[in-house]
Amino acid sequence: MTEQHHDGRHGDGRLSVLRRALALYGRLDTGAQLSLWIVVGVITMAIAAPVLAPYDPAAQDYEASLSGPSMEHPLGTDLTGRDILSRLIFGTRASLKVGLVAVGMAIAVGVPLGSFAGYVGGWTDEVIMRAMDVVISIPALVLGLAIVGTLGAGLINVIAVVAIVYSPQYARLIRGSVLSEKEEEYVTAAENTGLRDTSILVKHILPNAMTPVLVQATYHVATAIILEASLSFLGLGVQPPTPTWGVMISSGRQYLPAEWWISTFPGLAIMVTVLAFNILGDGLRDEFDPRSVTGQEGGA
Amino acid sequence: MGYANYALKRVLLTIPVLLGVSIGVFLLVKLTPGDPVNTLLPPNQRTPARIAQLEARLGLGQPLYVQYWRWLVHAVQGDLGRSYALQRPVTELILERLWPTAQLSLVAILTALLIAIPTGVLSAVYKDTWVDHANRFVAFFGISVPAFWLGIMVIMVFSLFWGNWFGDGLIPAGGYVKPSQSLLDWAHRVIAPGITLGVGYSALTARLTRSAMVEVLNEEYIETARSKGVRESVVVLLHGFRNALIPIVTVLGIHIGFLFNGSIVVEQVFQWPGIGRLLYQSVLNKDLPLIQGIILFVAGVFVFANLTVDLLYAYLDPRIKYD
Repeated sequence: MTEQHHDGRHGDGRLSVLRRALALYGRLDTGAQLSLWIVVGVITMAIAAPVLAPYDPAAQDYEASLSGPSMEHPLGTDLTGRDILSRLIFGTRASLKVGLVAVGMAIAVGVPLGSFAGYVGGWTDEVIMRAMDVVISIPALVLGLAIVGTLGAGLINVIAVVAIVYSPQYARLIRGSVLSEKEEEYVTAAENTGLRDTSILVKHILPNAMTPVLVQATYHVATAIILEASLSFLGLGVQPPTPTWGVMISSGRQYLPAEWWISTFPGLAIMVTVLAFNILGDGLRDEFDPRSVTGQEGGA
Repeated sequence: MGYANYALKRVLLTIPVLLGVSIGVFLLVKLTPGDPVNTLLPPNQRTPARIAQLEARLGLGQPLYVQYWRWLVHAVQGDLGRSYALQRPVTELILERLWPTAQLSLVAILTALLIAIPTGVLSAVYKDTWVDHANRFVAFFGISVPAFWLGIMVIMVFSLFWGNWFGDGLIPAGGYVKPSQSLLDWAHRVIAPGITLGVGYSALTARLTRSAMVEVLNEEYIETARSKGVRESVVVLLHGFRNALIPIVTVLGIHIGFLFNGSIVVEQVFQWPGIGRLLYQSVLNKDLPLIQGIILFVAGVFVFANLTVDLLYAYLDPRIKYD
């Protein structure tokens, strides 16, 4: 039942993906290109944190307690003398885990549900989409608080929260695409050649419907990072001693205004990271969605 | 399908959603590890008499659907149980905290209207010029800044640093005064959390105002008006903005959820006694009846807000297809 005719391109498949990615990069505006580099930088920090961080993020140095930015500690230290810069670098891990893994999970749940609902239609569609409406009807942080409050705090539960909160949006998005693609000629043609429903869905409809998913995911990584930081700030996210940006901000509050650096820098880190994902999302949307393309002079 | 049919269908659609929310909220108690009696009764009240009373009320020995039905019947009548930690009826607590949250939201919405609509319209009119780019960049910041951190920074600069520099903070570091007690004190205190909450919302609204305006300004009737020699400002404001207002109002309504997410953390940072803070405290206390009540209430508010927006939108925009 596998269709072989697609495999003809496989020989230079990798190369063409790379070439297409480079071409896409070239078409992005300056802001989006810069944002992509920031995103790459943040991901690198998360992976290479032990190499990049000047100190062990958990190492306490009471003699350096609450010292301001200096050559030794560029972003200062906290109460127990831990280096803020090192904790900031290690903090990328929690943010990205939630941002990337959880949004990936949301896609993994939402896309099959939505495409199934859209393709099958009828009662199945109604039931699935009404269930999605239920989740959407509750604001993300409210649902997050409820789930974490019931199941307990921690990284895994925060990831679960994000996956649950965002999956309905992918279901809606992909369902809409599937519904409109279903009417396209190539689908009817595929049906006429006797292909099974699932293989039409997976091989023909989904690849065409995935672009808006990618754009949405970029925005979602941004909001997921804020959601994680908010939960951590409230003490319901990733628990200390794991360094996270939200916990760092909350722990620095009591030292304001004299030791301002403890709360200020992690907030800036969140803002820059989220900003990069948002601008990149806009760039990708402009590129993929012809309706919102601002024209040739549209670079920023 | 006419408007009446559409409206009826739309209203009926809220029923399964609300039922779904109520089932989810009901199951929260069942998901919580441990004996429900222990989760719902504080230790000092676990006398045999109280336990028996609670068990009878919840119908614990009975099948799950009977328990759910009992709970739902109570909830529909406005009886959401008693708070575990505060020992008061949940409904009473929610109603008490509703007003402070509404105050913050109103200031936030006002901020959004005052900032977002002029900048959004300017961006659309001067599309792809430096005005547009600058606005877009600022809006990006507004969307990307976490509300809780912004609140802390506002307190740090305008209350603490300001206090160090000038002997007295420009704004208080938090707290709440009823407007009926002192309108001036209230205004002094509501402004910082309200604007903090409004920043992200403004940015969102500005972006959407821009795209709504861009779309409207591309319409044929705008060209027609221009070719008839109507002044540009009249074209933009009277013909353009008036028509863009429908999507803008819709978007304001749809993103009320965004506002509420922010209000949870902003109320916490500014010690504002609203529903968001109540929810947070109930989560810390593992106060399940209160958590259930607030989620049910908030979801109900959003379902009706969305319903209103959809109905208004369909009513105001004759081009919409009812499907």
